[in-house]
Amino acid sequence: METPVSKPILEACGIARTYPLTAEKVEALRGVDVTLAPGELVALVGASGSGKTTLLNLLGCLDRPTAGTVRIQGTEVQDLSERQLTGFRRRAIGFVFQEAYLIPTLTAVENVGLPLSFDPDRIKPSAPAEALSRVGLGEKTRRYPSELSGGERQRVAIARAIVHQPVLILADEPTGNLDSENGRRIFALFRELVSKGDLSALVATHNQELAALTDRRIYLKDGRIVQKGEG
Amino acid sequence: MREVPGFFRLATSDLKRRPLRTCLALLGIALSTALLLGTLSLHAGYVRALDSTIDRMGYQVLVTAKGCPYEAASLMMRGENVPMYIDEPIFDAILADPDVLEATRIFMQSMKSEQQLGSLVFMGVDDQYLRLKAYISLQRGKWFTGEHAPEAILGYNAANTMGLDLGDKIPVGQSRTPLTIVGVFDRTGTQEDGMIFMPLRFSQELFDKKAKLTAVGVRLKNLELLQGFVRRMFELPQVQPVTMTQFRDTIMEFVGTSRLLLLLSALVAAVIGSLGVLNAMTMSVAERMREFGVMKAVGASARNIFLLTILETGCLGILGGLLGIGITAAAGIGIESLLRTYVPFAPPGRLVFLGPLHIAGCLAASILLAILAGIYPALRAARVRPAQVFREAA
Repeated sequence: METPVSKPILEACGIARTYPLTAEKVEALRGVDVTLAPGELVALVGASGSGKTTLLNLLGCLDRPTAGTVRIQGTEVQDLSERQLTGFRRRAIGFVFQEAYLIPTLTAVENVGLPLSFDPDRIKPSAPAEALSRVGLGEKTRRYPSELSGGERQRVAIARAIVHQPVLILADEPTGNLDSENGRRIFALFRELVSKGDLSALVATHNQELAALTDRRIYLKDGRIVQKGEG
Repeated sequence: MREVPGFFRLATSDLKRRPLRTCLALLGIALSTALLLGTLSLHAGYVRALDSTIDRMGYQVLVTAKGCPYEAASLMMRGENVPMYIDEPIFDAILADPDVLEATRIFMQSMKSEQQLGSLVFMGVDDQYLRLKAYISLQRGKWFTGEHAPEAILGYNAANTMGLDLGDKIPVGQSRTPLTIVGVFDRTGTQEDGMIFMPLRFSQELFDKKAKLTAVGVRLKNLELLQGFVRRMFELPQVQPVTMTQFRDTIMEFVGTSRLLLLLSALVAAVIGSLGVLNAMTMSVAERMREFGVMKAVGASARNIFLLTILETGCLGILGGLLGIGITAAAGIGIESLLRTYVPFAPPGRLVFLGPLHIAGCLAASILLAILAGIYPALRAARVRPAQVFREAA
């Protein structure tokens, strides 16, 4: 277990996920413990197939663990109904994926505003433009995804992940399709976002150099945590 | 520009992504809507035009020579030669019937125009004719000076197409007797606009049919007397009555069969249009599974995704429906001229009537069909599991 400095935002204990895909069950995760304190930027490091995406899906309430508990801001999420989980994701979690998955027919600011389409009353309408400004794209709000570079598109995706003011950002290989310079910029952006202390981020990567830019690293192999590193 | 895209913006933005596919789906809906609306409008227009024509005939019963009465009535309404005649004394017997309010003698002939204007229709009439047809009035000129006067009054269109006016003369018949134009009727919107009217006696002599009539038009004192009058007419030699109601019903029976066939075609087109929407939306949803996954990840519920997809198909239905209505409106004149060429009896006036109820009904039908076709893809989209989608992408 980690020893967080304040009340953790995320606590996952002994989580496992088994898929009955073939005659034999596939154990994607086996008893993983993860804790994130407010303002922490943590790297989830592992090779392809090590279970990073599965772990992020479980922590992000997109999937349910076969065993174990996930507590986010004190709420045990594995017991929530689908509807409650959807509402919880809306409020508490922001996702960034390897690909930006922006809607090509919407402008950058509209893409950022997408989460608010499903929860329009909770956040002020100017939040998308403000989120874009926070990721350094305040001048490109009206651009369409096809008019942005790969790095800029990923910044738009990050703005989309923070627009609803979540407490936790889960990023799955967000720099996987970017060059090293853009990759460093994205990690610097995550660092900046968590620096206020009201947000934590768990970023999956297989790039050791980028992982070294985070507060802590969790190494995953064959569905188990094999190593943890700090600093 | 809004910073938070509403559902409508999200739904319509996707339609722009694959313009060709969207256009094809729209075209399918538009064509089925156009076919359905065209069928309904045609039926409504035809009934209106037929009713108007029958109303404007001014009489409720047409007494003709024995033969096929409907053929005779149809030929007369089209302004063509009826090759059977009744002897004129029968007119007096008809007029003597106690239920008859007014009756008029009709003598009709047609011949080819020397000016390549098609068939010229000559109508021999007496003073009673105008009394039965109250809507006909002289635009200029005067009534005939006598029963045997070689004079003519032109229908509104006949005067225009032949380029004739008061005082001009036209040679008519084998004897090429010159007729002097003494009047021009106002536009009536009926077949009579294209006819050339002559005094009854003169026309009978001109075409060598002395004391012969093509028909007698009868207006009764009361429509409730119709059955008794018809029965008595059957008792007279040589003649048979045909009521305008019977005539209308016979035509509508024929039209009804055609209408059923057209409605079946519209139904087939609607099924094909719906399959087009189903195909387009299924492909679109399959291509956007990750997008829906992202939407769910950022807080969209299954219901949100379902509604979004249904709204998208609804928009297809609205746009396709409006396009179909536009097509029907634009093609209306073409359809009319086509019908006038091929349909045995096409009454004058607009044959395609775009009624607001039909328009609203067809638009509603196109939206409903599109939504029904969108249910399956919408359910697929709503059931997307983000974790599975992202695991497959990883």
